[in-house]
Amino acid sequence: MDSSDMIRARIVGGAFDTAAEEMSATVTRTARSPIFNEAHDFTTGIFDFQDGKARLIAQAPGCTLHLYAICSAVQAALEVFRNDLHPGDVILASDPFHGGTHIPDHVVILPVFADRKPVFFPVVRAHFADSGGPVAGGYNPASRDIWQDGVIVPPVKLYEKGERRQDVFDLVLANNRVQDWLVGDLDAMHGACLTAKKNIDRMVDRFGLTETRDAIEDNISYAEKRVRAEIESWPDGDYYAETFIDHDYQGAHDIKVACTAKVRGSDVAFDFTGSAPQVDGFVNSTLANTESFVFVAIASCIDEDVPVNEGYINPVSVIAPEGTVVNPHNPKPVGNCTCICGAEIAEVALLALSQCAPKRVGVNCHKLPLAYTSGKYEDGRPWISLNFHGYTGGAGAAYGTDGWGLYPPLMTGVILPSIEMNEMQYPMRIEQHEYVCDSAGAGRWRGAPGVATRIRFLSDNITNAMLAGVRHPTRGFCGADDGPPNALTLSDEDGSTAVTEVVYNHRLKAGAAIEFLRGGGGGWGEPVDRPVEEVLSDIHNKYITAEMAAKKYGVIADENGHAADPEATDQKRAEMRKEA
Amino acid sequence: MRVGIPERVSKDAEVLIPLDEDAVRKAVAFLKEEGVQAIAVCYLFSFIAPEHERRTAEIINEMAPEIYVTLSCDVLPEIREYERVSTTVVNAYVGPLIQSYVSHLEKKLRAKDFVGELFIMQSNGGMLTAEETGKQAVGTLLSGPAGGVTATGWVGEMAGYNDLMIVDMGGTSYDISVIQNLTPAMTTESWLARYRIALPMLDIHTVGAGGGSIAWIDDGGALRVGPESAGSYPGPACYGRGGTRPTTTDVNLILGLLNPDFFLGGEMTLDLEASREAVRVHVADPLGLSVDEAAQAISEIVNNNMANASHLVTTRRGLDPRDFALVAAGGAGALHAGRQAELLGMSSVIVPATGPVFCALGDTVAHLKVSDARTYFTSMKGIDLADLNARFDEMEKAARARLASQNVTQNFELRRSLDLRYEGEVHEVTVPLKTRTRRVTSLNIDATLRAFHDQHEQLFAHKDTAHPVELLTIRVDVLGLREPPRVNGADFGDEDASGAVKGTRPITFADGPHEATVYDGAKLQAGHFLSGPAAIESWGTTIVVCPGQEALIDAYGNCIIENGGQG
Repeated sequence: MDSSDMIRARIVGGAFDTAAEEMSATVTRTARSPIFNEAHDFTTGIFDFQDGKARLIAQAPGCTLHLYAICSAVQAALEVFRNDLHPGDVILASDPFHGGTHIPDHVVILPVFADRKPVFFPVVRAHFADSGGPVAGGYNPASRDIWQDGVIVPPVKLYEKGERRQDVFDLVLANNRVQDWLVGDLDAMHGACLTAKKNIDRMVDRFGLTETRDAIEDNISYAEKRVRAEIESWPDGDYYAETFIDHDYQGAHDIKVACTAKVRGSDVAFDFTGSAPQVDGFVNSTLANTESFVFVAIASCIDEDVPVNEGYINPVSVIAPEGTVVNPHNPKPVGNCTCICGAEIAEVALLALSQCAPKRVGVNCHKLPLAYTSGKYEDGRPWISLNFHGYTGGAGAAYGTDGWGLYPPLMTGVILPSIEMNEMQYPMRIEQHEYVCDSAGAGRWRGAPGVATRIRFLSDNITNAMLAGVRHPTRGFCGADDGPPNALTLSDEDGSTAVTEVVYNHRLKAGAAIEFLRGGGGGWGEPVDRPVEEVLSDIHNKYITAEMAAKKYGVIADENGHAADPEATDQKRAEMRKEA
Repeated sequence: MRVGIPERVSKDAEVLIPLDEDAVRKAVAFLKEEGVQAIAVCYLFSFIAPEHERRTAEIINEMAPEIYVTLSCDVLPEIREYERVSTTVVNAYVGPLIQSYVSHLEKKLRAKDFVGELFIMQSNGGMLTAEETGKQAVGTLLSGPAGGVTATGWVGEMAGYNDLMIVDMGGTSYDISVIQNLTPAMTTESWLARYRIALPMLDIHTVGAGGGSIAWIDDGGALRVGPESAGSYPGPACYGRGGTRPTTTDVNLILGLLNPDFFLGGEMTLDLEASREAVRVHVADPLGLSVDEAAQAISEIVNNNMANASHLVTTRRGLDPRDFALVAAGGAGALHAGRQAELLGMSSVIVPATGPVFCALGDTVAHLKVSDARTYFTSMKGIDLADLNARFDEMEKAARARLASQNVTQNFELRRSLDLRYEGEVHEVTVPLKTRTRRVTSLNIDATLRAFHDQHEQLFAHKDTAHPVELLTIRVDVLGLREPPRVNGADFGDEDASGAVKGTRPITFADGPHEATVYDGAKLQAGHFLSGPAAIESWGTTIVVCPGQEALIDAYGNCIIENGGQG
């Protein structure tokens, strides 16, 4: 690539990135369901299709979970329709065993034509508020097969040559509990693709088709070069790690996820050989989901200014043996895979990489104590509360930074609802929502503190709870402590019940409460290496007590963290280092 | 530092747990010992039941009168505790500083025989007295560029445009905002670093692209510009203050957009060789380009970055940049505006006569303004008009009391609006409540609802007139109208601007080098017409007219550039 090519690539790349961002802005602005416009659980990208392969050209920052998953979904859909595309077509798909993850995450694809050929494909991938199946909202812990997860949508044309296919549209709507939202959300996804089409047409006009495609090639090789340079800096070798899923909500426990990161020059393969066989419960991860969470892990190791496109993905491969929990056979249920075992896949990949690229890994998280509650208002209308406050906290540390305070990184797009607004809209009171002292995994950089939340319900309701991170909490890295475990308690006038695994359709009376304890995040590095001032500041801010400072960090200080005793601290730290 | 205090009020203002005054005393004693200078107080539902916060302030004042206290029920009496806490905390942080700064400033002015009244620009685009500013200091954050937006409205109106995109390019940043139908876009969703500020502010989008933005080659061999900036010290290499890395300003000098002998009207000489050397060492040699090629590449990247950001600002609001006139402000804005219009497909550029001190002009044309908001959560169906009117009256009285200054203004203007949403939605739309009467009538409410449906459709692409609508917050803006500065338009003279020509010089545009005509801005007069390629040099700013563009000096001395509309 000569310099003028590189400069053109920068300009075309910037224009494509802006087009992807404008898609994202359009979805946020025009969607109906809160999961789109408030929780931002979607991502947008633009693809091309070369030699039978859908390639990512540009992507807007969005929900990290969708980062890579979008690629395999587009690949599967374009394989079906590659010879049957017309201007004005719109494809819809969500098929876990054909490029999908869990059923709620649907893609909408619009082919953009140039020189009478379909050349570019703007795509929105988003989490639908409902996707049919036995349980509203899509998480069914009792699911035994993929059909109990929800309604599968293999790639179908929602629009053909600009005309809506009403039969297909009606079939999709008929299988959905929130049809008003769905119509609005589908329009928003379609509208975002049309926004991109306008921008792409403008670009092709301005730069020319051949020049635009050349610039795209250059951008892809640029990203690949940057990622390869990073991987090249890691010593060659096989780095093995394992972690465990608590359970599959149906009785199988301590399900192993094993991974060997094989670093060879500027390539890295993640080999999941040794992982447990597929299980009966809905924690199995489709291949696309496994690749996606490996990508989440890799993305956290690469400089943030590297453009996310096909070049980013090229140096990375995933080996996931069939019939295992990380690549199950059809029709095993996979409904919770974007939480569990996605969390464990990212965790184990990071644990493996921590052996060759310690300063790059961290930000481990995503094992949530989920609990959904539904009931009826006085006038009979139904309400569903996702109890988001109970999931906050628990972000792990990374080299150079303590764990972030509220949501962990995988959910950074998600906006926490206001307590006051919640109490206005739902018959509930959030009586407690606060950091818990001494609940952060210790390390040179510590995890975020855990969060205790108590939600009291003012009317009868039904609650489903699904715990994770209890038996196997969030891991720390490079000598740091793990985060403390999650906990959940249901309490009413008859007393309290600790939930460690799952409760299904549990009836709670008015006045009952759910108490969440979201465990803190894991740390990074040896706690005795944390500078004394930072430990003092943690005491001062009541993140830790002086006792904990002495025990975990070897810092001897007063209870308000005003000053440390330098001699006692040096001595204590020397002893601790010797023991280690 | 933060301390939890036991107390709780329900959503219906019922006290569930009384304020634990002993806990407050203990907390104050602790914070006093820790040497804090300011305390922010925020409890749940204080926007409907402020008593616990007020009592807490009393206790703090008794125990530690020297501590600056700020209550969330005063700063932002609105639902959503995170926004309220964050805004109140920022107020506590900046309050003591700004209060002492403003009173010091006023004292100094008085000592120099200043007899007028001191007003401070607010980030909502209005002015407030110095005393009021000290109480609600958070309202002044980000107020610098606010002046520019206010000025744009004024200049745009005079020049005959109602829909304007204002771009303000300084040393380190490029600020973008839009004015639709002479009304600046407002937002309550601002962030300052990690802090959320939920007061209504002018909506200004900032990108890191200024005259001082540094061009560099990254690890992957790609040419990048910014976000690192050389600032004004050491500044661009051509300033000769020790800067050695190439900046946007250096590139503009190399390409001939800037005249090395006429920077700040000639008060400063720019070192062209230093610019060339910086570009050669850091960009041209590593890429195997000539210095001129490298400079052109940097320039195109900067221009495309700015155009992409501007495009996104309009798309986010469901707008099309081609429907706007571009107003170029800031010292460097007019160098790039012509190219921006080309890239964005905009047909007109306005370069205000007062370019580089544009923001300051805004301060002289802005009205006094107090914005107040109260949460009032109710269904719009069967809304209690007597209650609504009583609340509006109370808010208006309080706002007028804060405006206070009767010396500057005789006329007050009351603007009311409602934050509405469809039941079940999570975000609101602020809809102006248009009335001819002081009292809000049911007809006014119906009209506002119709406006809500339409505004909802424009913003979010759908509406549902059958869906129940709920009210969340009522808003009042009270404006103390100031007499705008009187500017008399000059009569148009002859079209021929040749009398202002200083000479020619080569300027490199996107399509390559051209011999451009150079004009002396001071000699240009109303009605003068010229064609690009051209440069108009004035003190503190240079206007660049691209090949194919035409420029006209209007009756107020503004330079209006017409672009063919090619994007």
